[in-house]
Amino acid sequence: MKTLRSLTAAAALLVVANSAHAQLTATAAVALSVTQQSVLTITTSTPSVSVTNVAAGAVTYFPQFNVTTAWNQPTSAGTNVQLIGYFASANALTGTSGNIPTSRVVGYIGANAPAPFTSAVSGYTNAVQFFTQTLASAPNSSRTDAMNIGLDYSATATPTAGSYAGTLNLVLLVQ
Amino acid sequence: MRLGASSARLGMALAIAGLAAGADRASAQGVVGGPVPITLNLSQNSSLSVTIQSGAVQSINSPSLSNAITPFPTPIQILTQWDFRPNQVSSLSLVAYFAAPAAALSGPNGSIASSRVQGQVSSGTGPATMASPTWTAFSQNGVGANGIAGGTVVLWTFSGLNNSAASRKNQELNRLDLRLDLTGFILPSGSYSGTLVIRAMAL
Repeated sequence: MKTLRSLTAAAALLVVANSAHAQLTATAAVALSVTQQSVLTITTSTPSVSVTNVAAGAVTYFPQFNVTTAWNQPTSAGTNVQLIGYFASANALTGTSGNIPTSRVVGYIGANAPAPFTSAVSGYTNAVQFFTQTLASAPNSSRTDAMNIGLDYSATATPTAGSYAGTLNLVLLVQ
Repeated sequence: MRLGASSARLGMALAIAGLAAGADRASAQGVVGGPVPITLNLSQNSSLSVTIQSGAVQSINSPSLSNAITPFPTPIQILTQWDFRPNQVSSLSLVAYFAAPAAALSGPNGSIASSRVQGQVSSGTGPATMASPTWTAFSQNGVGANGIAGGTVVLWTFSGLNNSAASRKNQELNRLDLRLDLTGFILPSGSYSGTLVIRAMAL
């Protein structure tokens, strides 16, 4: 009996000792979710450009403007990123004195050669592909290109006097 | 809850004992058996709890997270409650941390390091001392063993814990705001998820 009391006393001391050095913890959790949406944007440095008088036997360029493109896409979105310019019809500019066909409008960026807007590119007709680059190599990127758009009357007579207007559409395509 | 159940059982046992004693009295016709002393013992364990009262789920969905600071939408209300036995603990701390600092939030296209997540204890009601009243990246080391090295923000510490009843049993209510700082970083498109652990530790 005496031995049992001694053991009980020892156990009680052990409990006290343990409680005197206790470490207590409590935890809770906050669930965080962040979604970066896909990005695909084009901005131009100007909404319109104009020229007066097309030169005969030459290409007359509109004032150069900048096109900034940006994208942030999963690589599963496609293989390439392309900048395409196109006109909605074969008449790039229309006026009271006639039309200017897309074959007379040329465009390029950087060191590319001027190309007429007569191609079909990724489903867009009357088009020029300004650049294409692999998406996997740069899924999140942006670039600014100086764009040159000209009226090529180097081999034909200049347009009939009058005012002409048209819309060049720029699309950034991941495909 | 266990204590309540035990108390109920104890009360029932006492009631049964009383009925039995009454029966003895009645049958003995004036002969009293007892009273019988019963020693009642209660051992109330220390307790510590952390409760997220609101803001337990945070979500950001935006096209423009890169190169920007974006706050998480709602503040997190944290209630820490404690009730310690005397001489048991002397300090208490509350930290928030990510278990893997290199990838606090992860997704199919990469991860967000904890150093790009910041926290700020905007308000506190209680005896503790606020440790991060301004925006602080989750790159601290914690308090002792409380937290993860390089992935922690210390929310508060309470080192003046003593044996007074008001000190041993108290609570702290805090507002924690979070934001994402992706300045100089382009986040690949996609969804990222992670868990911020809020942990109180008493020593």
